[in-house]
Amino acid sequence: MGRIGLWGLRSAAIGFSLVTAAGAFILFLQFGGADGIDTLDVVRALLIFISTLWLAWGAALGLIGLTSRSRPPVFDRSRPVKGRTIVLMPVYNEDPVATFTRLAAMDTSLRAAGAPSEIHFAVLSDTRKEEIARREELLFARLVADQDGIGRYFYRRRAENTGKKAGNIEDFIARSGGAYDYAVILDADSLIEGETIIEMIRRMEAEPRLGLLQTLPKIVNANSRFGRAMQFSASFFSPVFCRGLAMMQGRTGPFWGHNAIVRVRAFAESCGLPALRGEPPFGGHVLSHDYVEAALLARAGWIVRVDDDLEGSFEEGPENIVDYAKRERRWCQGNLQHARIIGAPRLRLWSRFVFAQLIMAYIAPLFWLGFIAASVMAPAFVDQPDYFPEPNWPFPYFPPSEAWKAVGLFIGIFGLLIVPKLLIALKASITGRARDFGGSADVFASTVLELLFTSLLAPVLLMYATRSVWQVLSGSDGGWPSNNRGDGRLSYEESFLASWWITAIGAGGLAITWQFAPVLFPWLLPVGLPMILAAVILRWSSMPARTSMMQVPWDANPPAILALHDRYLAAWEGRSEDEGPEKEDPALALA
Amino acid sequence: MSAYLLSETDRAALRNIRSDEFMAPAELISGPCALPDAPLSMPRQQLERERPVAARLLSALRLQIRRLPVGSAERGV
Repeated sequence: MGRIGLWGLRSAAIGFSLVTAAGAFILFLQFGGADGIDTLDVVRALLIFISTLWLAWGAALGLIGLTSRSRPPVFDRSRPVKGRTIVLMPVYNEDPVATFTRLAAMDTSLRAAGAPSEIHFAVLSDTRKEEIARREELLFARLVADQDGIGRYFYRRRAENTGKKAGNIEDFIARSGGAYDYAVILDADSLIEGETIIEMIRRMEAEPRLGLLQTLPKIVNANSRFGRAMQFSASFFSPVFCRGLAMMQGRTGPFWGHNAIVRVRAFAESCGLPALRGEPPFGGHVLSHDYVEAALLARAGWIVRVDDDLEGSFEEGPENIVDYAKRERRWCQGNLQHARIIGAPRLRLWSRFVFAQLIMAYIAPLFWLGFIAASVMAPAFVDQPDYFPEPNWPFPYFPPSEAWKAVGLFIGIFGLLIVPKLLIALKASITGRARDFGGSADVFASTVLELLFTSLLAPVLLMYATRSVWQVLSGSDGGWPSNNRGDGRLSYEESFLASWWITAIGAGGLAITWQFAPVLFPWLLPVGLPMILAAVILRWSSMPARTSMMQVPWDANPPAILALHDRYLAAWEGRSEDEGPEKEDPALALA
Repeated sequence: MSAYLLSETDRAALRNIRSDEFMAPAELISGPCALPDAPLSMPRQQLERERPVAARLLSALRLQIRRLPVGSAERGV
């Protein structure tokens, strides 16, 4: 797509969002102003404008994704690969058996795929717990022995984890970056098919201006209700939204921190991150470093791209809402810190826009909350209508009701959330993509179930998001109950400890509404009830899913890399007689 | 290495080593499996302006006001 086409598309998406938000603003003002416009009406209309703008932007991404197709870049794939590549796995107090078996699986998968050049692996440990560090060292020795890895596998542990993950990668580049042309950056739970890694390397070789290539990782190994819903959403809806993002990225695509490949020289030249002036939360080390690195690469003239056609890239997701909220808390701080970076010199305009989106993603819930609070307060500021404006006239005058506009607005806002997902299900049915997800009927049922599920969770997540922003701004951390179970299942006690304050706010909010704005009470029940039942929802959603809904393609046909990892894991854990996939003939391992 | 640090899983993992090439972890990590020595400089990038946007705006405004002749209507004097 040319520059004009790109900016045309971007303008269309922004225009659609602005027009939709303006429509919501006007509709609300007409509804709220039926009895005369006051300040609170304008405030609420502005809050609706901002919230709708954000929802419409998401819908625009979905609609663009639905109306475009991903095409792999065209180049000569028979050309020999000259570059040297290393796969980097940064770890931080992770279980070394789980992480190292992933490396073994990727190594075997690469050899089975006929890697055109030798690919190295490095475990970059930032582990702080000594007992885990000792296990890492010991089990790394097994990994090297199993994979004949001397000369190909490396391990180093930093004495100080300065700069966290970004600092970890930077330390590697400063020490060893000169030995490699490309680095595949992983997370501890990443898995990428060997063929995909080879294709990523080939794409880097084919486009010398490409500084970073991001894949869209799909969530795997989810068991709980919450995990399965996220997994379905990430594998069924996200590729379409990602397609929309890819259409608008131009040369300034995203970096999500892992499951991506970077050109080491470009990364070294452009991505040395300084500590920001001042103290955290806004000063200090850059926390959400990935988007900043993407912006810096683009600033230096390198192309950053997400190729949504690349399959075979996987990660794991949180299994319960508490783990999800903890992760969101970390990301919230990092993304709010972007407020300091958005004005960085010479950034591309789209990079600044992306930073604004990232900040918005975390403050949007506050606008909704503000709208609800203002709506509860509004009746207190409204004068009683004058039903007898004409003296000596015996019949009352009823001001015209604008309630239908409120209903229209409500439907429109929910439409922005629901319609793109229903259209994705419809398109999947027409194109046959639905077959991988259990067929058309299952896809529609799963979509409706996912919408109901996310609607139920939304008020709880809204509260966690609000608390995260509050904690970041006030520099505090409320603490979380510990959960040591590997399957993520929460007990009632853990659920209650993590959510009692949400229950209290929900009950208090509904009581206040009943008292001061009873007409709003039924409207606020869908928000208040899930808050009151937060502990039950946390517990219930963390339990193993028993429904056949929300199927993903790998339920029936696990990707080779997942099956391979399972075999390594079983062998390492002594759960199988199998000694692990064959070293001599990696192709057998995939059979 | 203290045995008490190892879980059952770790012990199983170590029992199943299939190679005779198993080296002591410390030897490996400080020897053939230490990261290659090939330094690459990673210069710090500029993320913040020397002066914040608000300060620059203020000083630009002050400059504009200073440029206006004394007594002009815009200056309000």
